[in-house]
Amino acid sequence: MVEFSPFMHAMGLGEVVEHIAQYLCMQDIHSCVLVSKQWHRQYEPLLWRQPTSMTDWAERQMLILPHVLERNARFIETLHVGSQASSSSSSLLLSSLSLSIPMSSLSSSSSTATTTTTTTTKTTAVASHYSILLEQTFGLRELTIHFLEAPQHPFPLVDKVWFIQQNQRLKRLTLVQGWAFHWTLVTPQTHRQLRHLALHYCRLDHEHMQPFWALMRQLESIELVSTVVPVTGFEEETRTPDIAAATITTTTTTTTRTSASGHAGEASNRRGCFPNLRSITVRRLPAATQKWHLRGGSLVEWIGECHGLERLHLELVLVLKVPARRLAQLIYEHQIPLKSIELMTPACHFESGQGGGQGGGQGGGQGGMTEVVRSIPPGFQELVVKMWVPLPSVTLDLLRGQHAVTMTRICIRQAQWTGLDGVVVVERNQVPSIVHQQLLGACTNLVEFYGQIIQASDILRAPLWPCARSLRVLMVSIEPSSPALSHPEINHQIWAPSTMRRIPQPGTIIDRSPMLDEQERQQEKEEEDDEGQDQRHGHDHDHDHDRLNRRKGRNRYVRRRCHQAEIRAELLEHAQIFDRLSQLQALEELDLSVPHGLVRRRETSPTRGHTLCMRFLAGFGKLGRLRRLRIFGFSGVPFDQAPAELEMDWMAGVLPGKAAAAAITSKTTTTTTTTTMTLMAGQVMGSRTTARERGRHRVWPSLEWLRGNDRIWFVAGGGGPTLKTAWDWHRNLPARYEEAGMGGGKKQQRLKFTCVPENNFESAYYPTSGDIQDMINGTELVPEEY
Amino acid sequence: MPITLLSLDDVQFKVDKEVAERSILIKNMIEDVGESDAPIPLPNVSSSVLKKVIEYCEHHRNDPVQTQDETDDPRKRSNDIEEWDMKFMMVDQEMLFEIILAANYLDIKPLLDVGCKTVANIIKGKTPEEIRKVFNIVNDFTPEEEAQIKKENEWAEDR
Repeated sequence: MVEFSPFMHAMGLGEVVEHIAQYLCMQDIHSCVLVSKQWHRQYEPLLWRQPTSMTDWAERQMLILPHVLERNARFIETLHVGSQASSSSSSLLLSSLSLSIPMSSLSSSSSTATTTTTTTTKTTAVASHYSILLEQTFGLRELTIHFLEAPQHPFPLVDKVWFIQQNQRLKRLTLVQGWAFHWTLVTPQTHRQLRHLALHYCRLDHEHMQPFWALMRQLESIELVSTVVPVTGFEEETRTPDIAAATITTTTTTTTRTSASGHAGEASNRRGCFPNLRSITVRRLPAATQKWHLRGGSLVEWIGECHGLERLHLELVLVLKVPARRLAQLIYEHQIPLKSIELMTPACHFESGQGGGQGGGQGGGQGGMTEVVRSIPPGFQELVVKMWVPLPSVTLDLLRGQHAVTMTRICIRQAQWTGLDGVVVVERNQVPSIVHQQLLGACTNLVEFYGQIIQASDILRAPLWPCARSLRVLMVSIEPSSPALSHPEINHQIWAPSTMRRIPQPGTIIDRSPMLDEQERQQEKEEEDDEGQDQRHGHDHDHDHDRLNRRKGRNRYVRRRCHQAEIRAELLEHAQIFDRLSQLQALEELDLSVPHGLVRRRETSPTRGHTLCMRFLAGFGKLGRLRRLRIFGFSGVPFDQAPAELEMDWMAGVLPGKAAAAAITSKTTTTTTTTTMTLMAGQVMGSRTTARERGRHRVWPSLEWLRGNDRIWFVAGGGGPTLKTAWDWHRNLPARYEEAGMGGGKKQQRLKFTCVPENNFESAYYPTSGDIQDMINGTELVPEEY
Repeated sequence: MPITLLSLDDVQFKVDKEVAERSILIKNMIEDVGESDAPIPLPNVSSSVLKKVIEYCEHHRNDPVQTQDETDDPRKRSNDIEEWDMKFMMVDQEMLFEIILAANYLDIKPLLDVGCKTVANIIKGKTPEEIRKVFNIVNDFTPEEEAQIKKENEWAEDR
């Protein structure tokens, strides 16, 4: 008799196996399939749940045997069906779409007589797969479908439409370029379980709107990416007897807070037209289709009908003027429980409607953000502002005052800061350091904080942030605070040359000013003595010359020592900052920028530079959860000159575990020298080139090695890989999205992009330089009417 | 008011109601039956395992109740186990699976999560042969069957 062990019992339970499998990647599940017959039975269906989420799927799908697909098609829950052949911007967002064959291969097979056998085989294989999928797949939960295909594509449009229709258990549907899609095919009656809908590069005409609004009533989230939606008359189309009494308020934006509160109770009785909608994402509406766009006013009224809305994400809504004051009014009236707001839209498109609001700003839009934040009921958790969103100081004061306990995520990137005096600062990174410090000091449960520049002194003067135990992601730039060194609390100490060799210890800040005084006093005294001697012994040309040289030497000596002391003070400050940051025990990701460089180049020998960096970074070894570390500003540490073992030691000693995704990038660009270091997962690629040597001694990782990383981050241009190298990587790696353009000097062309393997798909969109130009020029767009 | 739990081998454990209610099964039973002094029988859990489970529940008595995952993210991370939980899970394999079974039966989701994460961490990065070795599983495939299965699943192979 076979005795069932707890292991056999547990692994025999489907729910336990499923539970374990959700923490395993496809490769691990594949290993499980090959363990034994029982495991094969249990894990094979799990392997087939999301087959298209694998990297290199385009090649992998050719290996699938038809009978295996036929056996397992019913287990598929997530599928991406589409094309990867398009050079338009959509392909950047949706490149590597799966279960597809490149359009180029299809066209070549039809247009040229020399069709290769391989291409034909592949086409046949994919066509066979499509037919099996069409017949066998009924249980899809998630489907991404790309409509634009070559005419001879094995999965024609009509089949795709039918495919959507037959999969009625869909919970999430993404339509890409679904121009011809007919909305009567997806209705509340046929797709009762549909909760999430994403439309990318689609267009809805007026005739589609009625079924669309009807479907909207059951949705929990909607995402519109460059999609044209005529939001007009949805009130009539969605009105049903139970909400018939509800009227959509279209009063003017001048309604006072008092009168608005009068309506609040009445308004709370109704649930709005779209009671289930929790999340609205609108990104980059096409500017060229103004007649058809989702106008800002309509958008806001639409939001006003979503009384359960928790997440609002507006990104590059180019042709819209979002009347922020009206938005605030609706949020307040209906007590919309917003938890997250993400805005990436220029100031001119997010306006208060009254030309300056209570937030202290002047000019269009400066008070809008404040009004919105003020109107949000308790429970607000996330604020993300990017790309010149107007961010008055009062807004952040409100965050600290009203939502300090609940805020978990604050991200301020290139926001357009306005102080109390209403002065608009349009340059990047201008939110004052002290504001960052105040936010970090007030919000007790912050998990993620993306900031700009914080003065080191602001951090060091304040006690440890109360969110130290919860903060998981931190991105800031630390600026050395030389002026703060004259702070009265700073220890005064005169540096002797012998002490210069000591490595600074955290805990003290050294001021150079007393030393300077001492040196100057000594110098003055000596000069006086010399002059006295001259007067006594008479004028002598040679003696005068010697004296001059002596004085020069002395001055050089003093200057050098002062300079060294300044460096030491800076190093000490860095040590303290690193010490402080290493107390953030929950930290998982750290992006740290040290704009003026951690160690100055000329004054530090390679070995000493290493020693110092090791010391500074050693504290991070205590952070057991740290899995991503990125530091800018290790200028002057020519890592390539140090012994390889030391580098490896350094990496191994600093980063806990394998730190597979850790990448440390150091770069500084001066007129003559460029030092670049990239460290990833314990490997070191370093280069140090002068202007003459540029292009030599570069060691870059192989593509195979890069593919093995979860997340790779490159900076091209400046000290990083050349643009050509970066593009080469980008083309050859499974990149999902990119971040291009964005700054750089006049002579440099910079390119930033993130390569994320397919299974880490993040459908983020980042602006291109063209978009930025559009936004800059966007002020001339037609004023919004609503 | 303390609740008495009765294990498979008739050992009684007195725990606070708050601790016992970390188990959704027990919570529902209390709600259905009402509070009483009668011990709640748990016929699927032995005393040694129940002791461990109670230890876990007592340590996590003040944790907020875990809600359903909102993200619907099919792939979850298994490396975010708290330090205490990691030490708690440092037990032999038999006990580990006993705890998983108990957590599944008693409907204690956080404990089930930790248990499954621990098992997933054991499996991660291992070849089929290594998995067999770790869990002492007999390879019951014939060489032909094994070759066939490998060919069928070649598409998902690690590269």
